Amino acid sequence: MKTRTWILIFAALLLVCLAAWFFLPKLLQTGSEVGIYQDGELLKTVDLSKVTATTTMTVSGSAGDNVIEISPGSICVRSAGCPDQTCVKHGPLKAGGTPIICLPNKLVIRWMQQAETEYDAMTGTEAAS
Amino acid sequence: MTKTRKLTATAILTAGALVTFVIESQIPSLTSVPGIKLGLSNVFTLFALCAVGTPWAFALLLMRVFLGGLLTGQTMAILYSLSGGLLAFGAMLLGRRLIPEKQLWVVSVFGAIFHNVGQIAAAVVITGTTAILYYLPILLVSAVVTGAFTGILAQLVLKRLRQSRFLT
Repeated sequence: MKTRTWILIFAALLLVCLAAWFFLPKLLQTGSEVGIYQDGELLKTVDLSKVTATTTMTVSGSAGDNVIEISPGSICVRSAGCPDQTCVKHGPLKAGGTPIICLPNKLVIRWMQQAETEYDAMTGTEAAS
Repeated sequence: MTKTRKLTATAILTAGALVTFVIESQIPSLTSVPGIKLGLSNVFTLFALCAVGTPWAFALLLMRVFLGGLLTGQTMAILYSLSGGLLAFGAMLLGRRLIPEKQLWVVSVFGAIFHNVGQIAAAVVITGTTAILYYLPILLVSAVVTGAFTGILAQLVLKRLRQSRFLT
């Protein structure tokens, strides 16, 4: 194939990926509920719109401790025991933003999605009322 | 090339790849996205693939992944590196069959794309969450850009060395 064809193919791929990067998290996030996962298991869910005071939560793993700060409307990793500090540099979990991930400790903090919150509602508050 | 020359060339290229890998790992990440980097050591794999031979390039890759992980002290990263590296090697091997050397940068882009796909796949398996897939689009963007740069570098070096009759 001609070099120009390849450039066009890769440019198209770039555009599609950039669009997916910007819009995919926005499309999938539904509420203000955040899930904290470690090793693929849900440790805790927090509804950020219902948080009134700032609290911290410590999660331990093979690479040391991650200190998670939960404050009204915001959640972030304050400090981490690993050398690369990717999760700290991520900053707070933004609305429609990408999840906070700590690979060494297998920790993921992300927005809950439609199906998950509905499931929670059915087993929790909705079923009780 | 005689076998001795190939062995020596692979050894020198492996040393070069390792030094590049270690230096690159010391540069702080520019973004908060895990896994984005230039991947300069792939220039050596690509060069070995074209100038020395497939098994030699494969040996270089494996040595770089294991020794690189030990030298930088990130033994966990070996898993990601290995998964990405093997997939990238397969893609580049296939690419070399289909795409001529004067378009080597295309092969390199495919290698980079599959490297990042392999890394993400390893991360999904290790952490057990698919949330990491959110990072796939931006990693593919980075792969196209960095893959093109490292590919052009390998392509130019090969071209110059062939012009000066250093390589046949």
